[in-house]
Amino acid sequence: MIRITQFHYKPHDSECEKASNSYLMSLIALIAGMPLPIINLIATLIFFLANRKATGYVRWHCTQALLSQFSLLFINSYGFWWTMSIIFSTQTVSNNYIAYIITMLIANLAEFITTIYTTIKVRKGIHIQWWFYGRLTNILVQNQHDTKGVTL
Amino acid sequence: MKLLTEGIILVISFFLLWLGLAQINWLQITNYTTYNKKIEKQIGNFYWDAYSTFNPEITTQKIVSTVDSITTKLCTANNINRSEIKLHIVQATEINAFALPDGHIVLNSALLKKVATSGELTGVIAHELAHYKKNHVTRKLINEIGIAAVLSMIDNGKHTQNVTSTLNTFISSAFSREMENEADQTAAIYMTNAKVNPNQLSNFLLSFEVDDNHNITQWISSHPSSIQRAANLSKHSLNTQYTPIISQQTWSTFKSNLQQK
Repeated sequence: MIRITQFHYKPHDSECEKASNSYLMSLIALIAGMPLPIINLIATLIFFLANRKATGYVRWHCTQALLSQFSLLFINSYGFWWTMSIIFSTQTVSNNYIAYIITMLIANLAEFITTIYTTIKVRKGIHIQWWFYGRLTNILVQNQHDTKGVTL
Repeated sequence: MKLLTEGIILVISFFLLWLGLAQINWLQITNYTTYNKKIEKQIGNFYWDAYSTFNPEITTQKIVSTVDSITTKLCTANNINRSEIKLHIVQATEINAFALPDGHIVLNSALLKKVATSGELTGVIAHELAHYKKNHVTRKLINEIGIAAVLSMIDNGKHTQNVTSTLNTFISSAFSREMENEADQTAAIYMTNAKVNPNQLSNFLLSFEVDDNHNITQWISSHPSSIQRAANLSKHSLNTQYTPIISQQTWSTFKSNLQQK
């Protein structure tokens, strides 16, 4: 699910704090934003945009945090609109629906636990790559020589 | 390549988990259906009690049995459990019929006096039956009032002004066009299965729009265009082997007993 690797330089303490905050964005919005799935994405996106010109370590983790929100957006949105259709139209509660809601909750819980773990580790300067999202982030974020960090 | 593989595995894992969980009968485990029925019964009885307080129920055997025969025939022909349906005929000057939760169907005496044939009455009952069986009643309750509000009213146990105003939701306001159309189409199917000409419901709709005193009757005014509804119903009239549920003599007796009320 997650890989512990080394970033191409050792990040400064302030960078570690900023990078871990990107994951905190989705957690805070999760508590305040439920059941609207888009709030988490917006909060993470705003933080990402605010740190576009930050150091490599910060940008990398902002990107990974943002990308992970997209799949949850689709999962949660589908569940939200299915629930709305049950309440306001002719759809009824079924085993399929309950199974989807449980699956959705498991996905959110897995993301929640992974995010908390990553927040703690990234704050310590440990570079965490998530399965799939880590590789995608590697492709999207260009590794630039950064004067604030140490290039390994 | 590894990225694509990981992505595909993630997606497949999600769907496999969903598929696996869907094999479990959650509705049975959570007693969802039983709980739903219990709440619906409570709400239905609550609102029937509120309505019957101001509108006395007619218990004349000859009137009740005639309507009961029609209802039983409709239920039997459509595999509906007759014991689910609680039919009430009430003394009221308003021409109206409506459904309450838990299978309560209320027919006002004024409407019964107005229907010309047993087929037309069958159509009205079939329409209200369809609203109940298609779950429109409960859905409307949740949409317009909110289930929490209703439950709190029941808990109070009093027939307050809130109860009266929410009761009007069932009596005076129609369902959505989609639900009304579904109820009409389902009623036509119910009537056809009971070997009653669904055109009778169309006739009732068309003849009822404006009465001699130019008063638009409640049952019609709360529903979408009668002409459109009649047109939608006409396509169901394919079966020509129709038989009346009750005899002409029984119908005449029924009408004369009603006139005395």
